[in-house]
Amino acid sequence: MLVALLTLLAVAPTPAPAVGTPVGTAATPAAGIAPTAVTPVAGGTDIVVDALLPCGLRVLTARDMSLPVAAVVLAIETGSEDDPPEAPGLMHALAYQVLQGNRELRPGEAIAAAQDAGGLHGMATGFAQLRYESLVPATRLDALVWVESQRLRFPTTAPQRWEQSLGWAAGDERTSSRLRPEALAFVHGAPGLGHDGRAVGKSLAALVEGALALQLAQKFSYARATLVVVAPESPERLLEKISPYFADLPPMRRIAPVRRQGPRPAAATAPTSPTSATSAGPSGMSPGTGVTVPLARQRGHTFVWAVPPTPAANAWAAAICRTINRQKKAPEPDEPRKARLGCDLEADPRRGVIILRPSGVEDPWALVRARLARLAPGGADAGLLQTQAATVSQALRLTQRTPQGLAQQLAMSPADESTSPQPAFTRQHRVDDLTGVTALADPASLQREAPDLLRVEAAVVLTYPEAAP
Amino acid sequence: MKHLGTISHIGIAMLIALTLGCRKREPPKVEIFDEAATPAQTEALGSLAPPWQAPERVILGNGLLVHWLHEAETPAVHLRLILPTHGLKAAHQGAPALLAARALVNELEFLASRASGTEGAPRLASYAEMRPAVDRIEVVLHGVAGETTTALAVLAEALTADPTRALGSARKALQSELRPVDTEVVATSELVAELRGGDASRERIDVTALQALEDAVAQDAWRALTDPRQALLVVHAKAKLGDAPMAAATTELATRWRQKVSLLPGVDGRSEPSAVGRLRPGRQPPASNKHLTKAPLAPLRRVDSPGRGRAQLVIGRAVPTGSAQQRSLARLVQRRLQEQFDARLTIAGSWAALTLHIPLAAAGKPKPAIDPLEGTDPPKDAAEAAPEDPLTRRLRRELTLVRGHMRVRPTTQDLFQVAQLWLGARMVAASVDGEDWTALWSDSLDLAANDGEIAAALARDAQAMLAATPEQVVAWEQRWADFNTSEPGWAWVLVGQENDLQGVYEFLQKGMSFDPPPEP
Repeated sequence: MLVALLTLLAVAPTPAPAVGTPVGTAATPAAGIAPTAVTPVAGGTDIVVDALLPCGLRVLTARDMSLPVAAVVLAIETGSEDDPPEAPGLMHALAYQVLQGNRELRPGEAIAAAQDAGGLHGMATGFAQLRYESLVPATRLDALVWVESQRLRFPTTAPQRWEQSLGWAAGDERTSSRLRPEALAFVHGAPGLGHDGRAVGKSLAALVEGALALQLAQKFSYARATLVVVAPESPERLLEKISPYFADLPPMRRIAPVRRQGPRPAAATAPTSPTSATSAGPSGMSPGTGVTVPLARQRGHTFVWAVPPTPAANAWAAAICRTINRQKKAPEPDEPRKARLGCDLEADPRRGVIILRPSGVEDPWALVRARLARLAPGGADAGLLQTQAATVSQALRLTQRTPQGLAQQLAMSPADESTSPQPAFTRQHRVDDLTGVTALADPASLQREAPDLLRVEAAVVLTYPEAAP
Repeated sequence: MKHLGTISHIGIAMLIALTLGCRKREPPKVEIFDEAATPAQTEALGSLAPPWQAPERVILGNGLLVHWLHEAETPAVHLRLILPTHGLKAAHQGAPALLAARALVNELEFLASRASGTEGAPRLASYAEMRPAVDRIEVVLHGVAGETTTALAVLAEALTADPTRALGSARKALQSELRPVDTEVVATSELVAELRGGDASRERIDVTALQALEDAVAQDAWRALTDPRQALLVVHAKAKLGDAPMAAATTELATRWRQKVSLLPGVDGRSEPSAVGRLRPGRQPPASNKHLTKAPLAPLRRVDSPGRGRAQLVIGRAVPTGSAQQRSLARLVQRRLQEQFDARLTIAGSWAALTLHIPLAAAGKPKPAIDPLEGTDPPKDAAEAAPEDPLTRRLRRELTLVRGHMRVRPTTQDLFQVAQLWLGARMVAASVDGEDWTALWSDSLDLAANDGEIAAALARDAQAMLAATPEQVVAWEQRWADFNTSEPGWAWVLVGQENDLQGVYEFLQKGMSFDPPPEP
């Protein structure tokens, strides 16, 4: 169970607050976690230094001295959500293309730089973020940082390399989800999610070098990226070491998108959802629910909530799901004997969802509402929720225990709003603030961070698209 | 008077009872492990070694030796119980010892699933695992820091429980887990037995041996294997051994887990104070005066294949690894060989087994360099079109390649890269595996000649490896690894069916030969 939970958290690391405490300046309040005033502690192991370089790259550094290894993660705020409508799967394939090198890096050199030193290198692609992750002996940190400082500089667009990249992309497993892409797009109000992000079609093979170069320049830019480094050195020293590698890049305004929930389209205009959307349940069922759309993969009712892209919300979503799966059934007549409610968390750093599947009841809305009400403060299962929050918190700490785990979690920190002026800055956070551990210790933070997760009215209810008579 | 006498007796009984009931359990006397200075934190990190401080050490009242590694910020706890097998009676070695260790794992998982958390922390999960090593079996219990005392209590409970049920479930588990004996296992076990002078059947475990095992023998093996006077417990925890809760928990462990009957030959209630002394057999492998290429020739053993796996030749020898420099040179030579051939080095303190595994089917065939990123796959037709030489000629070509590879003088840069790769990969693997320091401590135990060296062994070995020069490597290869020039001490085993060997046995019986050098 622990392994499963750690895996869950590893793929669903929790985003961080948008604003922290600039070093030497007053704290700036912001949405999300309230920034914590941190006294700079040189070499502290629970401190994360957060800096925005003039080239638009955000850098997060932290210290881990348990073993002489260093984790380096380059997270780019680009994913299948950003695919052009005429080229589904493009970002996934381009992620491979970046491994093909450029004028400075030969094909595969970024991988070899880690593996030739006994390290590991991996790539993770998702709906809205892709990551290049390396774990290397600490003595190879400089070489890895240099690689990351070169990786996004005009990746090759040679046709034979692109053909090879498409082959690799086609070999990847398809994303398995309980939701159709159209349903995920509807829940998040993000039309870009409404397709298979790992498709490799003829449209990709037909792209010319110029089109590839344009997409790479726009979507694989340092101004959309965050570099996370966790190593035995102090975070301040690490930042001093990293900054010069990017000093020759031209100044650029940060353009990393913040993946908030967008406006949901009217159901009649939603993709493949020709039937009605309603704000009330079917006849005889509890009224007052949220939107109902016929986009479910299976029969019955599927209740879905979009998880906000904050660290606390993701951590709380994990705790809520664990709690729901451990709730005891209320005695009859409050709940029928066969009533069941299962919860799944489809974790994603930016586009996560909670899915509830009620069964064995005539009125699924009533069951979901009653079960969620038990989690509210003072409810019968409020204590159980706190226990599960503590469990998730412990799992997060265990994940953070290794440099790779900590770097992966820190990489989920969302970028600042790109609309506000952003001069280069340096500030500090506590690790627990960025990973959601602090929020889990405060029950009141659930209402602040993810107020909709306990409201059945905020759910999107997916129904199976019955064949028209 | 009689009444007074009764009172007197009652009084004495009460006094005894009170004395026993109020007897204060003395906490174990904890020592700091500082015979040899532990490398400074920065020095250890720079040497790609764990930055642990001098650990605490104690011998508990039951004879159990405890090494306690403290890390202030770890949220996890790891308990590694190292159980030596070299001192067991012959009847208890092999399958019985493995069964007993697996039973302990089962018992730990069963009890951990029932135990409740302490210190207000929710208990996530504990899990146990087993790792067989040279002359020992290690059983590890992983948990979270808040449960250290609970984990120690679970360990005590598991070791004092009746093992009947656990042995039954372990037998079933092992029957499904044990890999069928194949050519690889037979070849390795035969060669190791040849080097150590023992019986090959004790070097491998198969399902039939497990099935034939009597319950009474399994029970005896459990008692012998879990004798605390021979065991070593390594702990990696947030708390210190000297902390009151930990001292109480270890004292409780010692009180509950006691060996009542000695089933180990030569052990009469004594406990060896040194970890290295507990884990290593006192005897060295017998020295052999055999060569591969000249008299006296090492006798070539041929063993029938068990039916799984392809025929192979295994060549090996014992090499000295008593010092950091010897270990480093042996490792560097093995890693360089590993670039082209299947070469292995298993270090067990002052000696190691260096083995070379040559699958006969692939012997002498060119090994194409395939780089998927570069797309340089060679055309398949070219290799298939060439007529194949006889197996003996291909084998001779392969042996010539091995010898030639060893005789190439490495550059300093080569050696540095080999060392970096080995040392770096070890640390990266340890990090990915959860940063369990007890696993690295176990590696250190294999590298140390005495207890004082354990804490610094990984760092010292790393430093020696990074400092090795090409001249030292060449000299070491000539003395220990070169088929022609090395000191005697070789052994070789050929495993395969008669038909698969195609005259190789007769060919090698005359001694190893090589292709002549090309005409100028």
